Amino acid sequence: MSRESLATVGSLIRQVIGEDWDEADDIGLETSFGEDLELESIEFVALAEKLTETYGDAVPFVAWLSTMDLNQIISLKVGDLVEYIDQCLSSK
Amino acid sequence: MSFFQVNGTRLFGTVGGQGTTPLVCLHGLLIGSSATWFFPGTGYLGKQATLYCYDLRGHGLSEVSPGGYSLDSMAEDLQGMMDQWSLQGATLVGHSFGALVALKLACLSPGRVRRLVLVDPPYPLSRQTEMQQFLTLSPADMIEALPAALKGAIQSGGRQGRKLLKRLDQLVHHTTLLQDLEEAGLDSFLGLENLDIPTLLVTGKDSSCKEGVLALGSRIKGSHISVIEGGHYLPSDNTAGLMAAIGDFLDG
Repeated sequence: MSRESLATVGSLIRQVIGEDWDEADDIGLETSFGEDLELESIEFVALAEKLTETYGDAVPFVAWLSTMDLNQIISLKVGDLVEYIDQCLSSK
Repeated sequence: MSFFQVNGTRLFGTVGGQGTTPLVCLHGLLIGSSATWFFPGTGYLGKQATLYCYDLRGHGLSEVSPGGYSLDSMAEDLQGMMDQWSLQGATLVGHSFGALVALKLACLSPGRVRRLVLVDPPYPLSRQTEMQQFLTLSPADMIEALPAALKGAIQSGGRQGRKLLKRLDQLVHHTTLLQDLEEAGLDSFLGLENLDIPTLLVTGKDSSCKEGVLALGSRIKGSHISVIEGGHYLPSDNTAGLMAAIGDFLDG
């Protein structure tokens, strides 16, 4: 998986979490959105907006998430998203 | 990020789905946000509809304005968001208090509303008293009354729980929300009996709002009522059942 995608995703997550972000926390491929980051559902909406702003239609994040129920979304790891982004970008 | 200045307040809105039917989706008070509808809605309904979801004032990513939480004001916000999205008319889909906001706009400006989907509205207005009572509960009792997932988040003492409690505190103690709800009069839905808008009401078999929803349905001519498994929080209690009911209504 690409370091560039991981760096981009990490940066966007930090923007979404904002002032609650603990600088001591690293975001890695194994970091989970639910248990580790405790992302709220509205923060997933914000992350979706930021991913769309960054990647446009090349990475249809909302369509991808739409195939999952909330429990599946919450149990996602950052690596799952990075892998999805890489797949989308490589298939262009 | 998509923010809109509406009635002097900065509101967040987002759009998903590729279908031709415009749905404007409204969430419930306090623990709701645009996420209530956005992800399940785009997944289940995104082929037949485009979903326009926004955070009510004081909720989600929208500004916590000190006032403007009455049904009238919230209906003006809804109309303002439809203007921002250049929607002359749309199907309105609302959960809980969001359903009452949708119904209010239908009474005030029926020309803007093509269809109504009212999911477990706290009706009649006396139901709002229960909401006020909820807001005056002790923090422990308030947590006990929340859906299981949120209850767990708060009890774990994590970031989600802290944010939710902070937001509840802001809304209850630093806005006119409670006062605005108390001032809602019996004439809040003038013109209800004259409505001529296709309407679907959905309630949960285990919802405390069920009897009120059935009563409301009897006041809206030609309305359809669907009683499905679940409680008040149907968008999460029974996502598939709710989306199937809405999808069938849109197809009909």
